[in-house]
Amino acid sequence: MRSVIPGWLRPADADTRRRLLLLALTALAAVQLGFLTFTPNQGARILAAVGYALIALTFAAWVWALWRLRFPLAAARTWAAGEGRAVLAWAAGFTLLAVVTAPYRYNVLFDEVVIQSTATNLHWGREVGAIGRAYIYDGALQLLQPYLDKRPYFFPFLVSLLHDLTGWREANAFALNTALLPVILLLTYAGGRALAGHRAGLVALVSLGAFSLLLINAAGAGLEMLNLALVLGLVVGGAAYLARPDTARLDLLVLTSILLANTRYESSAYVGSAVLIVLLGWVRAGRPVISWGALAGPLLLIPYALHNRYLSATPALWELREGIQHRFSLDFLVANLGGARTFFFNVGPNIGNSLWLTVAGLLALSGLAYSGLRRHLGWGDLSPATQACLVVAGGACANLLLLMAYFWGDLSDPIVSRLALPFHALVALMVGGAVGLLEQRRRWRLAGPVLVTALICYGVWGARVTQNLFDINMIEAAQRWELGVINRLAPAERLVLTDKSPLFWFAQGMGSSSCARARQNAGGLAYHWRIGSFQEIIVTQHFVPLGADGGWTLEPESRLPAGVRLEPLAERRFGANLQRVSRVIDVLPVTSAAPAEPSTVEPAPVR
Amino acid sequence: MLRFFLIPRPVALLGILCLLVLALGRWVLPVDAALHAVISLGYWWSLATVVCAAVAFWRLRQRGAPFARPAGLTVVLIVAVTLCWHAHESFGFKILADESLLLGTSQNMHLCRDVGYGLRATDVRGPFELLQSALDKRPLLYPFLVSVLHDWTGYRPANAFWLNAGLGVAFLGLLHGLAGKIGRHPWAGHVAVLFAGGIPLIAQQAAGGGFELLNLTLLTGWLWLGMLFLENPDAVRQDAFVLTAVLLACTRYESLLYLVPSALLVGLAWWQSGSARITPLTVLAPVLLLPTLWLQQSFAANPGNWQLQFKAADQPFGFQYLADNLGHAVAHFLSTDGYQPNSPVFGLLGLLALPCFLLWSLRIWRAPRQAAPGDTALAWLCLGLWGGTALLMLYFWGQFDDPVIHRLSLPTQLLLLLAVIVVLGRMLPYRSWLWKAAGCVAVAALLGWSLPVMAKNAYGRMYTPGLAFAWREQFLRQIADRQVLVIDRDAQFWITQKIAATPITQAELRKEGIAFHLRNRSFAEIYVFQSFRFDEATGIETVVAEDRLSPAFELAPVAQRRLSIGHVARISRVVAIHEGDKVIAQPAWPTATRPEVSLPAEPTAAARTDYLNNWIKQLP
Repeated sequence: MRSVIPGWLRPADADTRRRLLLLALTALAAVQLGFLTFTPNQGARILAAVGYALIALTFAAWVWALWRLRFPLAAARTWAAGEGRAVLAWAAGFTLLAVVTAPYRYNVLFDEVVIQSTATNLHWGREVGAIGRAYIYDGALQLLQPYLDKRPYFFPFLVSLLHDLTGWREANAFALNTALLPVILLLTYAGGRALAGHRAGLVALVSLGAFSLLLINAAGAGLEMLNLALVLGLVVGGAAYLARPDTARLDLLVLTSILLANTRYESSAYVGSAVLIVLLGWVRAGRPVISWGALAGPLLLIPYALHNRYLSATPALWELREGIQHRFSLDFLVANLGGARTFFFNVGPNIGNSLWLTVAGLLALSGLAYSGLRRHLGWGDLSPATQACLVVAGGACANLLLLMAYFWGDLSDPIVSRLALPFHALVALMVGGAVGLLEQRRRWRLAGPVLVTALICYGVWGARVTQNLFDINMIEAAQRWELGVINRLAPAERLVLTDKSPLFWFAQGMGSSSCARARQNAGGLAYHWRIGSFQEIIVTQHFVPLGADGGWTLEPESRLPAGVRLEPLAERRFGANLQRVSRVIDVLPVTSAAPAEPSTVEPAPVR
Repeated sequence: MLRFFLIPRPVALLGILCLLVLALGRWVLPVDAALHAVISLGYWWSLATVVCAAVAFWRLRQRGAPFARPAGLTVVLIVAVTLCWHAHESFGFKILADESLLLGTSQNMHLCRDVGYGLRATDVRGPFELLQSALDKRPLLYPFLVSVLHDWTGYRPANAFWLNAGLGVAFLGLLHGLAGKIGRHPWAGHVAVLFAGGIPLIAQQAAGGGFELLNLTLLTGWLWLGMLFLENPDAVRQDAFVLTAVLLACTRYESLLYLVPSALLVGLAWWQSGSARITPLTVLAPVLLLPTLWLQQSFAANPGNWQLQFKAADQPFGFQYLADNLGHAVAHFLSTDGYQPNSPVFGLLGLLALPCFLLWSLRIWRAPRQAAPGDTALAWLCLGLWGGTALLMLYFWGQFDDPVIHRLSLPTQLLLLLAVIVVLGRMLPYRSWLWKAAGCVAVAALLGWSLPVMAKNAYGRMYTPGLAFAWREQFLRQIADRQVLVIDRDAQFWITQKIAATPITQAELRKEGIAFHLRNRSFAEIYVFQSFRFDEATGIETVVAEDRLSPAFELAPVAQRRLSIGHVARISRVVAIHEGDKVIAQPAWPTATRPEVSLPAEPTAAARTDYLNNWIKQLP
């Protein structure tokens, strides 16, 4: 049997043939170097050493690719003065809404402080890795025990870049996410506009903007906003490339997908979407279009492969719960699907969903599917934007399906909900597209009522979620309170021994270690106390109730070595726990491992 | 006419619908069911009402005509008056209970989409949650609008004040338009704005958290839209007018009264044009009134809602109150001692113009078809203002010079203002200098009288419950940690500030619960708010009866403020709770780590849950 190679894979000119061969070679080299040559630990060491340079190179190349495709200034001005005025007003309005209503704080357990610590390490040491311990020594915060964290590091790299340009401060990560919100909204508009015109773009923008989860993340320090911006960038870049498959657009598309893979673990799925879009572009062009970016693309993915291998080989990073052996299993499917149903149709105040996107998305999907079937539309009949959108939607759906088989994939859990953001962005595009097509075909003026309905739905169900959802994160609330107590003390170089993760304190520029580590190294603590290494040692601890009537006891993670004498400074209840901030007033050289006796010193009022 | 109203089937159906709504709102549903319906459906009904009104106004806006761009001088005047108001009045609760209850209802609407103010609240699970709430007798539109502000800008008590500040501007704008239309001269609007700007009572309401200014703004808009509607009775104007009447009825209890002239005006328009326009929004309008009708039944369910005990009255309305109330009204309008938030110049002009306005109106009421449609509408709609004023004059607590009641005089003051404008613009022969002279009088009254009175704010400082509220807010700003429990007869105030609170009577009943929380350091402090009176002769202080707490609560004073001569408010800290001679609770830091207690994962989680459940149960 003889198979025929399609024309778009049989280039006539020798240069393209050479490029095709080179592409195959770089892909093979990437697989070899990324997956076969190095052990996971070797890969981790390589990544720590050269990861910063590689991501900086990729980002610089992406910026250059974007610059080549920039709008002429005059065209941008004309757009901003015309239909762009409403678009910019909506984007600015939603950004203002996020700034005013969503509280700025860490939302997701320890993710965001780990990211901060990686960014700090990149900023000060150009080394990829989070910080294990840090101490103020000789007036500067010394970072010790860096380790390669499981999270991809493109977002921390951007934060470190902000640190480089504006000085190191905790707020940079938050500022970056807030700045990404209008970018996301404008990309959503661009996607919707490419699908079905200006009004479709507006509907998509407002549908996504009026979504509490997006606004919450815009006031956080997580990876999600960057991930979403790049997913939408892939849609818009893919649509532009399919509409006109040339090397400049191809470079942007490929580099966007590489940055996306370096933003979140599961976003590597979008590399598959990008490859598919590239091939679709070749079909449209009738020949392989290969640029320098496409050639370098596989090689630029090597850091991601090394990182992924390290993560797969290090179960300690998986954060598995007790009794769970695997990250992915079909056993989790039923419970996660139940969680997804709860999430998508929730009307309560404790889940950050969008009932509007669920209902309007279902209606739009049914309408578009019915219309497509009725008109016997084939793949070739679809516009470039629709094709790009569908291919990226395939990636988002694959990720969502993968999540359903993940041990921590319950979307109704506030920690997990954020993973549905890309899916919702694509639903918003679909809603915009459906409204735009209906307006064009039936001459209905739907956009206005749809915008108002989206806003009313947000006001009724979404707004209170934006404001209150992450009040349930009492660890963050307790840390912020502890920080307030310490900030009211006289200035000093301090060490904070904490019952929680010390990472939070690194983000404040303070030296910190855990009470557990102090217990393990009681001699070290006594030594540093004796020689006065720190002006002041502050301890944060919490008491837990022993029954319905209270009867407090110090929680094991809060216990210090014997011989440490404390002076309580402040105390406050968080949930059912009593949190305490104390000052070390003496460390006796004892050898017993018994927990510390509390001080009898009366607490000093904190003002 | 009778033939016209009997024959068209849509009109008959609309009439039947109105009767059904009335029956369902007043008699069919048992009181408990009606009040429960308000609690669970009130928010959604209010949302539907506001959306319908927004649609009606949007369609009117599409017409463009009624919304002419205001002239520069108009904008300058409105901005200047608003600045004057807010320069001399600070944001805060002006009327005891009313405003904090409205805010409490808006808080519940924002957090739970239920109607009712919070009685018990906690943040033990992280977010601030209302555990128990009670239905308030006040209509829902104002708290709903405040809850929308909470939704879009974040919960903060000041949203109620900001809404009123915005309504102040809207009121002045609408008043300018209405007066200009009535006086048929651009200066008529300026004069009305200047006179209104000189009424300290409006300034006070623009910086308060009550629903009076919303009522006044809607009244002004209702009159203006009514005139527009009768001049050109089309479906769009009719919808806007009818929906404004519905909004008005959902704002204050007695504003239901304005539905009668609204219905008369719509009927008159149909009669004059010979056709009835039954639009979907007009059909929906009576249905939107259901929660307001249900809520009115709270007076039947709880006669205490009339608050007759405050004036030792035996019935809420009666002719026995008329003479006294008329005297108080005149005293309020003409007072010159600075202790009334009035403008005596405006009061005098208004009272002089009122009989003339009545004569002008009588002529129109007798022959509505002979007058210009706008005039007919004004005269007919003013029946509502006359009726409202008459109702207040027959009300047991209708003394306009009472600090709590000043605000109820606002619709009457609007009537006085309209009377002045009608007399100047319609009854006196036209002179080009007339309006300018009136403007000069208004400016002189504003500068010579109102500004010093507003600056002195004697009328506000005389009202001690308002001062006590302001002091509570000041105290709250000064404490470092807001995780406190406050025992206060006005516990609602603290809950709206997201502070756990309980009334004194409840604290007495739940002493064990308070002891539990004191023992377990649930709160940074437990405070008690009390008022004391001093005996003039002996100087001995006596706690006010409503604030009396049993000696079982050992208190240490923290802060004290004189509210008036011989009247002091004090905030104390609970330092111990006794049972006889025995101390059953004292705040104490945990002192033992109890290393002998092992803490395996599951039992600790169970203990935590047990504690959490008990914690909530023990909240007073």
